[in-house]
This record gives sequence, structure tokens and C-alpha cells, in this order.
Amino acid sequence: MDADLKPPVARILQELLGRPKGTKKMSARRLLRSFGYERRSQENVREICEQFRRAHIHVDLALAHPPSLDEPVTLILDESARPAATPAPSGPVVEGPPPLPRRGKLARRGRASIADIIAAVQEATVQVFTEVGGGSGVIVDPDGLILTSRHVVDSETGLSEREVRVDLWDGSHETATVVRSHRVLDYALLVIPRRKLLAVPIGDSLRLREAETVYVVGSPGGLTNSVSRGIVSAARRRCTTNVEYIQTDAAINPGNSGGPVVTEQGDLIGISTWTYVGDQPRAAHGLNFVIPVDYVVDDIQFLRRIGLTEACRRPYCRHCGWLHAAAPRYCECCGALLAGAGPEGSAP
Amino acid sequence: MRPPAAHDRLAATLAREHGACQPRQYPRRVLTPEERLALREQSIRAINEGMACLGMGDPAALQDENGFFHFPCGSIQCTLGLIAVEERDLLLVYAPIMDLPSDRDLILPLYRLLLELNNRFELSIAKFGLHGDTVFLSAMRPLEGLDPAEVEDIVCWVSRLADEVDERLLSEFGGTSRQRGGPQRSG
Repeated sequence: MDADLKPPVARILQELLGRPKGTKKMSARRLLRSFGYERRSQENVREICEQFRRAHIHVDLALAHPPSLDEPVTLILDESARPAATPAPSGPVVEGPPPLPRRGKLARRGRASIADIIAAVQEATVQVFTEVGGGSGVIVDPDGLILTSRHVVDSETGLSEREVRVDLWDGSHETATVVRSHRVLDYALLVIPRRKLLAVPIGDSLRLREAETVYVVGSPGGLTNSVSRGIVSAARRRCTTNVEYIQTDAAINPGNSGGPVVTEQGDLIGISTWTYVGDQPRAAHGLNFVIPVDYVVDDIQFLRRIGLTEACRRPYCRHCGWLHAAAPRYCECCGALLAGAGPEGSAP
Repeated sequence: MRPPAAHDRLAATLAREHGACQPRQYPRRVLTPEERLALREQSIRAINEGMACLGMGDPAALQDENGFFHFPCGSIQCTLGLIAVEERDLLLVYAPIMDLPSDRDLILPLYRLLLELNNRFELSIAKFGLHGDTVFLSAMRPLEGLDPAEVEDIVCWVSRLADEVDERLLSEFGGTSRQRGGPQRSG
């Protein structure tokens, strides 16, 4: 927190931190007087707004353009100004879903150095294990929603597993339920029964540009929380199909799959997916591909809307990764016989 | 009570319209183990000769531990081998084309297109199928009377057809219907 805050701002900040919603209303006249001003001018308003901005408090425009100085002004505390919550190993269930982490949150929360930002990303990176292998994953929702690669949760037969094991940063294990996956875009969403986890904020990979620095976190070869750095080689690379990948030279190795790829601000832009190694005489290096996170955002919001517990209960097609509202015998998406539906019987 | 399956209903209709009749049985002599072994050896010689005619070089270099040949043809990888179905040996040639898409609005049109293609005479003995979540093109033939020219013909036919069709299928159905950052559907 900024130590040079003026006393009224520091006082209001303390008050907002003590409120669950982090909001407060006061008249513009009272606000001006607390700063020692009797009248409103552009300079006064600019200085007050600047003070609040440094304290991560948003002041609505009523201060600058109210019809009267007695109109209330709303002060809203940016959630990033709250002290970082340490993830509880098995925290209590909170009422209602917390808001999604905001973009740039890790950079704004006082973690100025890139080492601190990556340390936070490492806390949100998990290892995913199946019977035939494993990979990495990243927590994208504090309520226990994890994003990883579909091929990480695939079984030997190519079908997606329904349950996999997840190892968290603190060394604890959880059984995760696969609730959504996409074979072509190669992502899967898992839910673990934990709350108040540290989640990586989701960035805007559409605005990514070539030569921007990105960091890859994961567990290549089982080496947990390894970090590699590179640049965006191509922001929209199409290979054999119409799927757009982010191409990077940041090292991606077996075990990195599903792990987070973040910007210097700690925003998630995608997950490590595959590497082109070329043929032996002409081996390739540094051709790594990341599936952009904005292919997945809609699914994340959908799962939050229906509730993660409800998503775990719903029937899931292990072929195409579709999540069904009801319990049909055949998958509504690909027509495959759903697990649990007998050959002769009715719906399970 | 379970409703009668489609073929039960069809059989009932046929019996009603044409009288009760037994389906015609085509007699097939069951080979003795010695005859079957001899036929297999003869067919393997024909396959090796046919593969050599295709310019594959040493056929043994293309074989895996199960005796299946794997060879590239354009952008696809073809496989040839002998399989046993109900005490009968068959020659199988197949080529994986693509993985099934995951998007609902791509899967149904793909299924329809594959069924329509299977009904085309141009496919000859080849057919499209689904194994797990992989679309593939395949052809099967009994070993009786197999000669090198026929092996060459079947391999050429399947591999060329698969190589021709895979680009079209991949470009149309191999990707995703989703748009980055745009509205998407979830299930």
C-alpha cells in the first residue's frame, strides 16, 4: 500500500477494507471538506481522484459532475487492494461464488517483481495424474475450477477420464472431476472440492502481440513448478485446421501440457499444448504452441453459472466432452453411448 | 417390454409379405487348421510381392511385431494386415483420416457426409468407419484367391482415396466452429 496517502484517503481506505462489499457513499461536499476544500474545481477533483486511484479506490463521476454538492458520491474499493488471501488447505464453503480474478491482479496487488508474480502463478499451478500419465493444470477459479489439456486427462483408449488425481502446490492431493473438455481445442476443465484457492486471472489473449514476453509454468518430466520464459513468436498461428494457436519459443516439454502460460502481469493467456520437434535430420527447436484461453472463457462462465457442484453431478460424455443437463442414453453432441447407459435399458 | 429392433420389424414385414422363409444359407467349407495355415502363408507371399510391386522396398522393414505393414501415403499413414474373424482370415487395409470434432454443429454434418460417401459406388470395396473417435477408411477381403496384383490394387485404392479425401474432411470438419472471444455454446 502507498505510504504517501493523505490522511482522509488512508482513513477511507481502512473503512472500506473493513466492509465486505468495499463500498461507501458520502456527499461530495463532505468529501471535499475532508480534503480541506470548500469549493469544487477541476484541480481539486483531479487531485482527489488521483489520491483515491493510488489507494485503489474508484470514485464515480458524481464527484466531478454532480448536479449538487449534496449528491452522494460512491467510493468503491478495487478488490486487488485487499491483502492477498493465503489459500486455505480446506477452507469453509463461502456463500455464493466469489468474483473471477481480475486481469492484472497479480501485478497490482503489490507484487512488483516478476519473481513475486510468477510465485503466485506457481501457487495456482497443479499437477494432474491419470493411470497412463499426467501433466500440469492451472486454477482459474477460487472455487476449485482447474484448466488443463484434454490429452492430459485422456485414458489409454483415447476417452477422457471422468476422475483424475490433482496435486496442489502445498503437496496435498485431491480427486478432480472432469466436467468439460474439447478434443480439438485440447482443453479440459476439472473441479476439485476446495474453496478459496488462489486463481490466476484470465487475460485477453486476443490483444497479445508478437515479441511480448510470456512465462510458462508447469511440471516437465515431473519437475514441479518449473518456469521457462520466451516471447510470442506468432499471436495467431494456424496449423492444419482453423484452430488458432499462440506460438512461442518458451520451452514446453512433456509434462508441461495443460500448464499456464502467463504475461509479465501474471495474466493467463493460454495453456501449453504441443511442441513441433520435426523429423530427425531436420529437428526443430522453439516451436511451441499454446491454446489461447479465450476459447475456454465461455465454458468457464457456463460452469460458474450452473455451479461447480452441479457440474460434477451432470452426465459427461467421455468421447466429445459434452456436459448434459439431463441423463440421456446417447450423447446429445456426438451420439456415443453414455457411460452407465446399458445396451437394453432405459436411461440410467 | 423392449420395442422390437428395426431388423426385427423388417423381418416381420418380410415374413408377412413373402411368407415364412428361412434366409438362404451360403455353404462355406470350413478349412482345416493345415489348410488355413497354408492359405495364410500363400497370402503373405502375395502381400509381400504386392508390396514390393508398389515400390515399398523391403516389406519386412515396414512390419511391426504383429505382422502389420505401416507405410505413408501422402499425408496419411496406411496399415495393412491379416485379421481373423469367426475362424476366417481376412486381408484388412485401413487409413485413419481424422479425429472426430468436438463441436456439436460439426459432428452431425460429418456423420451424414460419411454415410452418403459410403453409399457412393466410387468407393468400391472401401468404406468409411468410426473406431473410437477416429474416422478411417478401410477395405477387407477374404484371403481365398488373393494374388499380388489384387493386393497392389487394394492398397493403392484405399491409400489414394484416403489421401484425396482427408484434406477436404480436415478443412471442413477437422477444426472448431468456435470463435475466439466470440459467443460460444456450452453443454
